[in-house]
Amino acid sequence: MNPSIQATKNLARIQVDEKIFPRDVVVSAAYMFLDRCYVRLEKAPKRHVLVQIKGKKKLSNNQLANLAEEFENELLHQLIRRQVAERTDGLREVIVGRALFSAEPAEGGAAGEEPQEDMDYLDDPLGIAVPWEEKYKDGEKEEDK
Amino acid sequence: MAKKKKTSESKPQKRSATLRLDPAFYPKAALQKASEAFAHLAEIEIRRQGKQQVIKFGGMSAAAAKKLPDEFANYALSCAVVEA
Repeated sequence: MNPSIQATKNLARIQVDEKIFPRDVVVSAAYMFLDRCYVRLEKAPKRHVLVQIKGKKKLSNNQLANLAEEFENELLHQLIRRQVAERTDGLREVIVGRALFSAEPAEGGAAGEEPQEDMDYLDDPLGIAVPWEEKYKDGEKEEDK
Repeated sequence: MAKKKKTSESKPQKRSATLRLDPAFYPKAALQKASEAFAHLAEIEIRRQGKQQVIKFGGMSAAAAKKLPDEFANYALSCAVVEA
């Protein structure tokens, strides 16, 4: 996966082996670089993907080499993300399923509460709209004593 | 008699460019979406030519011509990822 740098074209080329980094991993890694540089992908012989990274501004040889190295790191990152996602797939399904099940409204209303049709939007049964000072005025006085 | 200097007051020259992309990474739907997004900057024509998608840009300003094909490819790739 040795990157080749073409500073005159402001370009770094990397050949990625699809047997090691599947295509969707390469695409995900490329996606992470879209804000920093121009990335172009194409198929190459022997199940490889050719990744061309072009600087949005003029980059030096070293900067291009660094960018290519960062891309290689990102490939590894995306590969591990994918492996973890595959490993925890079942667990994720259970968690989401349980969350959805517990959030399901009970018959006739939301979260087991009976609908209060006679209520106005200005009603405040829990006293949420009461200012803090008013609500705890008496309590503070007791503490002062 | 002194020659008259040519002035650049004439119409700004329109540029064209061609971009070739691999359909394995740039599906047609993504290219269409990118073409709609950049339609105000150039006349864009997408054609399949053998194993490649050929995108022709026409009527671009000089400023747009420098960046448009690369920006188009980036945008198409992001569309491909988001819609996958």
